[in-house]
Amino acid sequence: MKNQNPIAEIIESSTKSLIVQCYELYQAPKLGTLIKTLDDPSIIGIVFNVFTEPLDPSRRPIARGPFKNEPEKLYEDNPHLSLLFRTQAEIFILGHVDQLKTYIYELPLLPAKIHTGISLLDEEEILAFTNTRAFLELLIEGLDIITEEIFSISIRRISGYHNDAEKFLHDTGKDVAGNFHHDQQKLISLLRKLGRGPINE
Amino acid sequence: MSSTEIKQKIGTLVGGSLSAGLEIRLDPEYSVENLYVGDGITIDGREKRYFGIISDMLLQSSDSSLRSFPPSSSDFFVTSILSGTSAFTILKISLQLAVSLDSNFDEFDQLGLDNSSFGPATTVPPHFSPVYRATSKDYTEIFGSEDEHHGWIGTPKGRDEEVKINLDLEQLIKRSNGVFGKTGTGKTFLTRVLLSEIIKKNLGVNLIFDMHRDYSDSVNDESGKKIHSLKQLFPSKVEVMSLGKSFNKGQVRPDAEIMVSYSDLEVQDIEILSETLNLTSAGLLAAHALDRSYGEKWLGIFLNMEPSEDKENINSLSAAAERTGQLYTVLHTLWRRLEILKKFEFLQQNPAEESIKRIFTSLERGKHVILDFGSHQSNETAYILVTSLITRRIYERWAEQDNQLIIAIEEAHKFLNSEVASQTIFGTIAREMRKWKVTLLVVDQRPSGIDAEVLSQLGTKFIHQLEDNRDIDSILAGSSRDLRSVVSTLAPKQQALVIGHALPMPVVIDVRSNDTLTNFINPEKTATEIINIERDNDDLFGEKNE
Repeated sequence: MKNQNPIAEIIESSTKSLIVQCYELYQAPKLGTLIKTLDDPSIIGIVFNVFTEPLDPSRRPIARGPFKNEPEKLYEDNPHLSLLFRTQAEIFILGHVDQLKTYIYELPLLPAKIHTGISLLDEEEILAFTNTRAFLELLIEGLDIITEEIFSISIRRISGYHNDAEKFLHDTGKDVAGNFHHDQQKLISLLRKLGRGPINE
Repeated sequence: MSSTEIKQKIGTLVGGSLSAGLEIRLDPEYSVENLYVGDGITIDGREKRYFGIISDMLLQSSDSSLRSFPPSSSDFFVTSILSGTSAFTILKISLQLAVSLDSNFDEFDQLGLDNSSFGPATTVPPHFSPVYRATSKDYTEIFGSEDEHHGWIGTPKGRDEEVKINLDLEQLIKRSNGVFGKTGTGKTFLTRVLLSEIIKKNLGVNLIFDMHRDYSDSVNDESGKKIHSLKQLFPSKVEVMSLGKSFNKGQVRPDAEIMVSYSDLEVQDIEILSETLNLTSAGLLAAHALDRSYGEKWLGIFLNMEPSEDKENINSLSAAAERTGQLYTVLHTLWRRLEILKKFEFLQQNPAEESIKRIFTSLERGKHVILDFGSHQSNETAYILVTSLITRRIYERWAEQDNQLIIAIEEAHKFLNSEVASQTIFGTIAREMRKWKVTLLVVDQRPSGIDAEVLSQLGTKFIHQLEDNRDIDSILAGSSRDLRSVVSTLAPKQQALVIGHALPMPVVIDVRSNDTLTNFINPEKTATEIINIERDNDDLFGEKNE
């Protein structure tokens, strides 16, 4: 585990998913990004939802506009505003690291502790984790939760790290099709999204 | 495909039955377009290895909605993924052979199977057994290597010539066999291959009735390439005899000219012509009466009669009618219809040499005889008459011989149709099988015209493309229904389904090329040999008049 720079912290934890609060407002990992928890054993997951809300749910923000561009000046003029909101991300768990430091593509038997930090997987870690098709198993199982769109964004983002991104997408599509007999029309919709090609950053 | 080819898994056994065929789900990564109906496959069960052929291919999908709402064909990413996964190919397999696996094998490729242990598949491999495309090693295990009694006839369809299908010629010639296919499919070429192999291996002697000068003289194929005659291929082993003085300058000089005596013709030789000459049953009864009354020379006497009603003239048809108790009109009709025989210069009252004995002597000496019909090649009557007559006479004398005699006839439905098969010598030979060491090699484009019982007695059938359903039905009667689709997918030329007792399982072959037949010929040596053989023949039988 190389990248140890925490970008967020767990505020809600289960064995299936996590909710993390980002240390910087609006500085969340992007949809489909692979993350890890900075504890031992580490848990690997994928960002499937990002949202920003008031710290006090009873105090809903009111409109301050109109703004023709981003409301940066509003934040500069009212620096307290940044302290009233928080950006969070929902993480779907895809596996964990065992004591031998190998990837296990199963749910952890216990959830991570609240306040554990999370960081992004670096390129080497992404390639190692997605080197086997096993990483797809929990992702496919969780399609109803993460939605087809997030599924395809995740795969397209991961494909961008592989040498032959198109082949990776194609092979992944075959694996998905092999596990997806019950609803062919949904499968076709999913494959069309995958067919949009790799996401490179 | 080379000898170092890797055994490639193509699918998994998912269902089916021994009688209706097994069902194989093709692996997604294997393209169905690399396979074809008739292709050989192997299935590794737990205790046996199985061999079969692909009899059909079905495109199926795991969800019926794919049929109703298929993805757009322009969406290549989606279609390429669905193809082989949700939409997949099922191969129907006609299971043929099984062989027990040695219990201490390490890998299937290391087996070294003994092909004597092959037997018909009487059980099926278990679910999810892996299926492979047959390799050249598999084909060699099944069909054996070329040796003193295995002859190379072709290559499995779609494979290169390193993979050879070798036929057990010793088994082949023990029974009558047939080469079938519509015109232009390569029947004659395959027959030439079979005859060449029999000659090369010295397994028997061939008597070939060469109606169209296909075997006695070189011909050009459609690309203009020269195809050597059997005489050119085997100058010291083959003798060409012409029917009458019917060869022309520039053609291969025959080793003998065949003349036929009227007294050699029997009523059954006339009977076989009934359809060609439009002879009535009354006419045939009259022929029998003439035979009884005038003896073996009846035909010569009858054709020399005068078509007159003068009863005083003992040489008149009227006198013959009175003598035989037949109606004059019946005899007159018979006489008119048989009159055509008088035009055949090879039919003589008293030929100088007993030609049939000449043929017999050559065959007895182990020479292969091609009877070239020369200028009579388009005359069906001459062909049927002479072929029937000579075959019957040779057959009668061959009983004491040890050597196997193979008689090759074209237009076989003329001799073996259901009306005449029971009466002709050909029907007898086809039914008696190897009893007299005489078998037939029938070549025909209309197998439905051949008597069903005769077809059922054929040991090995070489089936080129056939279009008429009746022909396909008759030729495959008694065989697995799966083979029907194999026949219907044969290429228009030089490709044949081979089924029968001379090979362990049916196989579709690309017939070996002409080049492979001629590459052992030394042209200069051949020319010298022909001259020497002709000189020998002149010494033996006297010089020929040209």
